[in-house]
Amino acid sequence: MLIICLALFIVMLSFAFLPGWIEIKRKKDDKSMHINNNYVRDPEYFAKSFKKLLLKRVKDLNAIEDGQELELSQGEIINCPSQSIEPVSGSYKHITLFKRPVNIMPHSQFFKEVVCLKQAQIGQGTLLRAGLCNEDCSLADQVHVVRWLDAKKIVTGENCNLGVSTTAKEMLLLGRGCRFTRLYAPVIEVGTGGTEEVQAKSLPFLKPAYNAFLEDSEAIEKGKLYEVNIVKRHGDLVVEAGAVVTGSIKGYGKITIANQATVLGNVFGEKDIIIEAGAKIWGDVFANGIVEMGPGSSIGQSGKCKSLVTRDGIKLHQNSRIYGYVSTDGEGVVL
Amino acid sequence: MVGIIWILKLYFIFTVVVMVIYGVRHYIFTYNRLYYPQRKYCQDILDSDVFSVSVVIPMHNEEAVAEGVLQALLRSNYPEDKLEIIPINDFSEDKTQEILDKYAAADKRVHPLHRFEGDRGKPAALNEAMKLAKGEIIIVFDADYIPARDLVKKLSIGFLDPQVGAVMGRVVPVNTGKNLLTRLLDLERSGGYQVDQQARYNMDLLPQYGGTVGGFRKDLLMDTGSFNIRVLAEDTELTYRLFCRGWKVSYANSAECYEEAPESWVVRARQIQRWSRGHNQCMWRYFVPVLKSTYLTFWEKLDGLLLLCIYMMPVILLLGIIDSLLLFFMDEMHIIAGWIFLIFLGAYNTFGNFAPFFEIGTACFLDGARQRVFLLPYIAFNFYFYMWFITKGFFQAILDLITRRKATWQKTARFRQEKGGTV
Repeated sequence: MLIICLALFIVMLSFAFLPGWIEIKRKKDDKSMHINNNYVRDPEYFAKSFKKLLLKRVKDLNAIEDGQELELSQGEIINCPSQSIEPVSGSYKHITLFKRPVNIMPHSQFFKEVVCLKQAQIGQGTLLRAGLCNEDCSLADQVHVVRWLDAKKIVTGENCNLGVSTTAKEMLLLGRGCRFTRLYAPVIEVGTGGTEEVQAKSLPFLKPAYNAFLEDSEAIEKGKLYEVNIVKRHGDLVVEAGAVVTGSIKGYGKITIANQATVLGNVFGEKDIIIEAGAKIWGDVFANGIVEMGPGSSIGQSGKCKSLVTRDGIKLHQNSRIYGYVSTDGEGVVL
Repeated sequence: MVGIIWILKLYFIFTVVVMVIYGVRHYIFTYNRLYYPQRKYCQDILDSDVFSVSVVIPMHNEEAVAEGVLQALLRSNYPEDKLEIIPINDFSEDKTQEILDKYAAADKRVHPLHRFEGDRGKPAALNEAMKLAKGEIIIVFDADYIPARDLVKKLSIGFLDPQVGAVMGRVVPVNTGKNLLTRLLDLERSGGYQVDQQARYNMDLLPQYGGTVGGFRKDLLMDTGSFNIRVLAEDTELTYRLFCRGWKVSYANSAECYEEAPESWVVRARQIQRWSRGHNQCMWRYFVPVLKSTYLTFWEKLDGLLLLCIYMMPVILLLGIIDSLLLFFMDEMHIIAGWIFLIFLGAYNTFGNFAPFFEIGTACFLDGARQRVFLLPYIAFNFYFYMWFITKGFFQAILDLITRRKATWQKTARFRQEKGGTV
């Protein structure tokens, strides 16, 4: 009886260990978790890697002929539909290369990448899987970029969808109702432009001596100068109109940077951040909530790259401006 | 005799309560990781202004791995004029010095520090390196680590947050498939970082600075008295020092780095014993300051205390097992009567003990590992193995406290053999 019980015990115990034992023997999943040690973040990654892929096959993109097949990540046919500046329209299933300035007619559809070696005007309601433009690119209303778009300068119409990533080497001008996830350009501006430029000033590197902890009811008072970092652990934080904070700000509730207030450092919020009209933040803005930028507000300084990064979303009002990079895990929208 | 039985019974109940608290803690962290919005780390920020960084690598007889870490760091995409690499040759008797000098001659970013006087050990070595370091931020790697190109950037960007005093990345074993021990350590690391650390970061509790693949503000550490050379767990000590002064530790789950996990049970035993001893040294030191701190919230204090006592748990449990055996043989086990006790006992045995396994299983799920999760039952062996050596470390920490003796740093043995590389 004892032997039977013992045998039964061992059998029952082995049920728990048997799958593991099989895995030890078969080694199906014994590799270390993969870390790409060569990975480097690059906001223009999509455009650069696509261009690199093309240039690996042909040294001069002008030399590509209509209907030529190139071995990219897979065999791809390259269409060169128009050699003139005549408007083009239609539906394209292959990679499309425009060697001259192009005017794409409304409601065209490009299911693969589009490469423009000169200026491009994309017509209303056009569907663009991805686009690479060596010169300026303007999007009419309701253009839908599925993946990415890169150009020297990009001007969008209203209600465009800018896909996963839109990057420009000089400037990105966004129209009302545009939706985006990631944007990158030396200057990103909403509306018609004309917001006062924030010049990078050669101030001594600002390193406030300490973090000042604000009590629940305290605010950064109107028009005053604060030469410290500000940390507010509970409740909302308001930097009142015209106040100047030379350090950075950290808040666990909603943060409001009121009209014409200036923060020379970074603003980090665990919830939403509201940047009201005309307020200026010289550093980066990061939020585990939504960031709303009011009319005429700005992030960063001319000639520098700063970031607006959020988890839940971004709302940009007319004439707001960012120098550098914008990214959200949620949805970005121009109001 | 009656008094002793009462003490034994009370201790038994105490053990059960403590085990339930830690079990619930595991479940809360796991559920948070699975179902709640994840708090974002700021690695997506691009900023043309970067901090000056000194990367410090303590080394004692590290000829087997020294070149690997230096080569990896020299490939970093961090701006050259803002990066300084300080490998510390800490009383090495092998070719470490020669290797470091070779790299220093070849690259101006490498500034080795050779130590043959004073106290040996990581805290003392770091203190000396910090006197030389020019960086505003100190980032520490162990010699067996292989940092990715963008890791320094990912870690240092966290300091843009004015309240962050230290940043911690995620450690991944590079030698997972070597043997059963390394496979189990891989599971433990997954659970510890992917679930435990990230959940604590999500919940704004106390993610821990782990002493490597992480960094801290130099001024902050210098102003608060450098590392204490009597404490073996300088990382835990720094974590609590920062939190008690109103600073935070940020956890960067995406800042991953390979490390070499111990491949022999003897080496692992020594490592876990050292961790236990060091961690418990911190427990004596910070239990009261955590309770008194005006900067910590109630939940931060609770998490801080539970984390401080984590290396006391195996001791409590071991004594609890002995206690229950004594009660059983004394026929005094009838502590709580009634059928409801059976339900509690059954429920705890089924689900309570399952909590850490659930946490590790969840980490495997999040990491996309589908087969290694079958090894989970084998973690039970580690549990008993650790129980013994953690208990030993605990009593060593008590002796440290009583005798005020100085602990000797014992380096973890390396297993990798690198071929000499070119600089």
